[in-house]
This record gives sequence, C-alpha cells and structure tokens, in this order.
Amino acid sequence: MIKRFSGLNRREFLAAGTALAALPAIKATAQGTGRIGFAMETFTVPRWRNLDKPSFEEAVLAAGFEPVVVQANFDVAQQLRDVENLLSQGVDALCIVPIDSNSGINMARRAAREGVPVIAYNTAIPSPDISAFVSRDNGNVGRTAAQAAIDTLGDISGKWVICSGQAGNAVAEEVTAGYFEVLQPMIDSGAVEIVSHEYHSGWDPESARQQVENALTANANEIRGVFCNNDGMAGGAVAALEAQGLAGTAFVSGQDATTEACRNILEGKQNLSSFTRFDVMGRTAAELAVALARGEAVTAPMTYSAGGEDIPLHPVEDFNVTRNNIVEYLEQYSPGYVDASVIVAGLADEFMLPGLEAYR
Amino acid sequence: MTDLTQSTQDVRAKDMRRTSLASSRRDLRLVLLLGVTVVVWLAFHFIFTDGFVLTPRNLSTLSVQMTVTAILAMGMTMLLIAREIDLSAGAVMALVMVLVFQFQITLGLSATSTVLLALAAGAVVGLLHGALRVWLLIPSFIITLAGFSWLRGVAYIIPDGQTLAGASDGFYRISNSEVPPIASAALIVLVAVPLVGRAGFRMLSTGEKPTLTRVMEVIQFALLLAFALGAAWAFYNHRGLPYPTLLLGVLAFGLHWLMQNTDFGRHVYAVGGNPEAAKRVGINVRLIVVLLFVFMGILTGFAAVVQASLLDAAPPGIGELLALNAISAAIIGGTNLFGGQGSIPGAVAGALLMASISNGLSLAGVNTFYQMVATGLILLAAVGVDSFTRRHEMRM
Repeated sequence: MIKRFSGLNRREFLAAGTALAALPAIKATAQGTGRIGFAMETFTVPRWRNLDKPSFEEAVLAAGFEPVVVQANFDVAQQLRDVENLLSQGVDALCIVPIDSNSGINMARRAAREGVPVIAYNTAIPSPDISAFVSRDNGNVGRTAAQAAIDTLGDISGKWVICSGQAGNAVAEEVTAGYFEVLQPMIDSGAVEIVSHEYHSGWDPESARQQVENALTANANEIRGVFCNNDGMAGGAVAALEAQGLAGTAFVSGQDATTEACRNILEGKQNLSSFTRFDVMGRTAAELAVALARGEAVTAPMTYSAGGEDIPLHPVEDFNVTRNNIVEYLEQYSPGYVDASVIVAGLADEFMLPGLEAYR
Repeated sequence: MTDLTQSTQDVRAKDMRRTSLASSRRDLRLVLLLGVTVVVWLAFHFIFTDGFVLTPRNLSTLSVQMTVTAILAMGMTMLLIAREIDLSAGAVMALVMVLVFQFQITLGLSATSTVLLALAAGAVVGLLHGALRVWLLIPSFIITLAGFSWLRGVAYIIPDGQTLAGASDGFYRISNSEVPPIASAALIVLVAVPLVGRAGFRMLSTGEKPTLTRVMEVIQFALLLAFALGAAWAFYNHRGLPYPTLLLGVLAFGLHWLMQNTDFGRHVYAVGGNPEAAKRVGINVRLIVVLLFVFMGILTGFAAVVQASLLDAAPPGIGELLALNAISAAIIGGTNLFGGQGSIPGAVAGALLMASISNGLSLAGVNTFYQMVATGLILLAAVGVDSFTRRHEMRM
C-alpha cells in the first residue's frame, strides 16, 4: 500500500484493506486495470475532503475497483496533467471536477480518444464526450426556496429582494431562474414585486449586505424577504436586516447550510438553507463510474443544457435545512461538514433545541 | 583595467569551458541533474507505482508536460545570465492564450496567422519591458512585478473573465498530434548520431586530461546514448514524437547554439559577468537587454501556443506561479541568480527534473501538496550543492 499514502487516514486505510481483501473474485471480472480515476479541483474545502472524496472511494472499493484520487489545487494546467497521468495508468473510467468548465472539454476529448468513459462531477463539461454529469439540480434549489416562502408565510405578496452570486456562474444563474419559475405568476399578477436584484462578483457577502441595506432604505423597510444564492450572502442580508431590527421578521433563504447559516437558522434570523447531499453525490458518481467501467449502459433521468450541448444529468438530492430538521442534519453532517459545537457555543438558551445539548 | 581583463575572460569563457577542468565541473552538474532524474524515474517506476513511469506512453506524456516550463526556463535563464528577471511570464502567457482564442474564435483566423500573431504579441510585451528597463532604468524585478498584475488584468478583461474553448482543428493539432513514429525514430537517429559520435570521439581521443574530465567524457557518452535510444524507443512505440517536444528540442538547440557560438551569446555572459566592464569594451548593453526581453516575449508566445492548444481553452487565470517555476527550473539547472552563469541545457534539465517529480508523484497518487514540498527541497538541494562547492573552491 506504499503507493497510496496520500489522503488516507487510518480508519479509511483499514476499510480499504478489508474491502480489498474481499474482492479478488469481483476484480477479475473487470475488463481493464480495475482502477477508477477521480480528478478533483482541491482537497482543502471541507466538503471535498469529508464528504465527496471518502464516499466516492468507499463506493468504488465496495464494487471491487481501486480508486485513484488526485487534486490539482485549482490549477487548470495541473488538472490536464492529472488527467493525462490517470489515462496513462489505464483507468477504466474517469471522474472530473472541472476547475473550469470549458477547459474540461479537451480533457474529456482525450479520455474519449482512449475509450475511457468520463463523468463530469459537480460542474458541467459542455462536451459530447461526457457519459454522465453528476450534480445537484440547481433549479430545484431555487424552486424549493421560493416554495418554502409560500409555505411559511402563506401570502407572500409584497416587496422582495434577490441576491444572486457571480454573474455568468451556472449555479447563480440556475438557482435564480428557479426562484422566478415559482414567483413569475405572482410577479405578473402584481402581487409580488422584486424591488432589488443584483449579481455579486465573488459571491461577496459585504456587497450583498449593501444591496439589502439600500433596498431597505429605498422601500422604507417594507421588505418581505430576501432570496440569497448562498449562505455567505444570506449572512450579509441578515446583518442588514438586523441593523433595522428586522432580523427574524423578514424571510431569508440561503444555500450550503454553513456554520454561520445554521446559527442564524437556530436564532430564527434565517429561515432555510439548501443543502446538497455531497456524500450521496460521491457515491452516485462512483456507482456510475463502476457501471461505465464494466461497459454497462447508464441512463440519466434528466438532460442538462451546457453551452449548447445536452448532457445526461444525474441529479443529486438537495433539501432545505430549517429549524425543524436542523438537529437531524447536524447528526448526519457534523463534524464532517459543519461543526455543531461551534454552532451551539454561546447560543442563548431560548434558541436551543432538544438534542443539541450534547454538542455543548 | 582589472575590469577590462575580467570581461575579456568572460568573453573567452566558451573557449575555456571546452578545455579546462572548470568545463568538466559544469558538465558534472548537468550530468548529476540528469542522473538524479533517472534515479527519480527508476524509483517511481519500480518502488512507488506498478511500473507506470518508464512506459513509452508516459515518457511521451512527460516530454509534453515539461515543455511549457522548459520553454520559459530557457528565456528566464538568458535573462538571469544578464542579471535580469521576468516575473510576469505566467501573466503574459495567459494574455497571449486569451488573444489566441480571440484570433481563433472571434476573428476566425487560420492556425498559422494565429501562431504568428501570438509570437508577435509576446514580442511586443517583451519589447515594452525591455524599453522600460533601458530607458527609464526601472529594475526588471519591478517592471515585471507590475506586469504580473496589469497583464493578468488585461487577460481577464478581454474575454470578460470567461474561458473560451474549442479552437480550429489546425490549431488543436499543434499540441495534440505527433510526428509519425517512423519519421520520429529517423529524426532522433539523425540528430543523435553526430552528438553521440562526437562524444564518443572525445572519449576515445588520447592526450593529457585530468581524471575528472576522462570520467565525465565516459558518463556523457553513456547518458547521451541512453537518452537517444530511450527517446527513439518511447516515441516510436507511442504515436511518435509530439510536436511540443519537437518544438522544445528545436528551440533548445537553437538557443544553445546562439548562446555558445555567437557574439550575442558571449555578450550576454559578459553583461551578466560585469555590466560596467561590458560597456567599457564597447558592448551595446542596452541593445542586449532589450533583445533578451524580446526573446523572452517570443518564447512566452511559444509557451502560450503550446499551452492553449494542449488545453484547447484559454482560462485567463492560468499559470499564476509559472514564472516562479521557470525561475526554479533555471536555478536547478545551474543558473546563478546574480548573473554571469547558466546554460540552456541546464534549464531544460531543470524543467525535466521538476516535471519528472511531479509526474511520478501524480502517478503514485500523492497529493499535489507533497509535489510542492518536493520541488522546494530540490531547489534548495541544487543551490545548496552549488554554494557548498563554491565555498570549497574558494578555500582551495
């Protein structure tokens, strides 16, 4: 095992060992080298390290294949080298988290030239050489956020603010489009008015805070709520609302269920944060890669249009974290993804929920 | 007068290199570097991976993976020899790549015009840097540090932060195709026969020579032969010689010849050895410096063409640390950061060693973070060895 002293801790190492010991019979049926490559953009973000990567590796091992996971530290040229190196090891299938969507096209083309099936992971690669795209359905994130506002408030008529992420970014564009899918009939009838909608470069929380601040000023604080593409900007919105004593009365949505958002949800300042099951995402990609490596056909439930190319999308479940299910969420994803002890540290007793004491 | 004597020595450095013990010492450095590279290959092939390294396919891939750094390292070496530096190489490359895709997609130009315009764009940036250097007398560190920022900014502005992808087939083929295997093998034999032959003759020639020189001649002959046979084997068995590797070879031969056999080359060493003296013996130091920056620009243009075709996309953020990698490769290859010393083969060997370590660790599935540690340690080791031998020589 000297070859793979990279990212394995002892527990993963033992699990890998057990799985490897159990698989010689299955491995023999694999047509090629029995390796499946995963070219990631980074290991530094907790999500990748604690959810995507281990669940991918576990599922690949369980199927009798050997995972080879590399990361390019956000360097596109390095990622191309990683892909070349994985191909020259003769992987049977390849998963790529493209650092840059369009730069992934030639990586997919190279793999296709070798007859290696490619899965785009998390970020789309607009290429006909893609066998599958595993990602969340961003539109669904937007639709469920808007629907949750209706379910929470009943009548949502009034003035609303939308904080979108980086312009041109697929996540920002699609989540935002999801809001409009639900809101458009009410906008058309005049019940709902979007008084402010801005894109924030770098998903900057401070610039979102200023947007909400200005919207409050311009509308004499009569804002029903703020839809935010992510939790950083939701935090900015909460800060602006708090300054006007409106935190807790206006509806706020976000995405990623971060430590900051969980705290705001517990304190009632943020209503929800959408969370994608990244562990399920890793497992889904691994299972697809294994099937493709065995030469089986996979059918996607949806198609996704990326840069004029329709690619087969395998959507991964997302759900809204609210005060109602946050305890359950923390049970599953702390401390791997967020740290519950940080969330409840110093939290006023009135906001505590049964089941959270254990983290104190 | 002492200055003048020293510069004459520098000007005649090439003749001395060929005859003296010092020449053997310099060759020793290069041989050591290639030796370490071979050890790295063997270690990764037999110990750390299941024999992935020394395959025709991986050696072909490796030869392409090193090209961008190697091309820039050659330009950097020439600049460093003359006591100049270019911190903006990565930004210039990104800018030229962005322009390449504008030429290809927005303007629909042919591959040939695209390449020529890319080289011209690189040359223009180089000319600008050189002009600022010699007329405003701003240190090149500052000029190119500014370029590191503003040129990168322009690279983002032109495509509005977007990555364009999908060049014409002609342009795509530049980095994604190969000279046919038979022709590749023939080409390698054609180039290798005179080189290996000359080394062989030198090895067999009698006459009074220090022991070190004798040993070096044998090792050089063996290494040249091994690399030639290895290259012929690898490229013949995997699709043929990739065009980026061929380009690197042509550029390396050309620049090595330029530095060793022309007045320009001798003057570059003289300027770096002692700029004052160089000026006094009538060398046009300003012209030399401007030309060096233009060379660097053109080489960056070549690197951009290779990288753009390889990726078939132009992400404006590419190559943040490329200039530093090129400087590392140059220094590992024996270039003195304070001028006067360095060689083109050294720069290529430095880039090859860095690429080999990165390739080996990547094949072994080791995290990129360890690759960064390894590169840093190699750099320290290379400079450490130099420093040690120099102190040792001084004491003698």
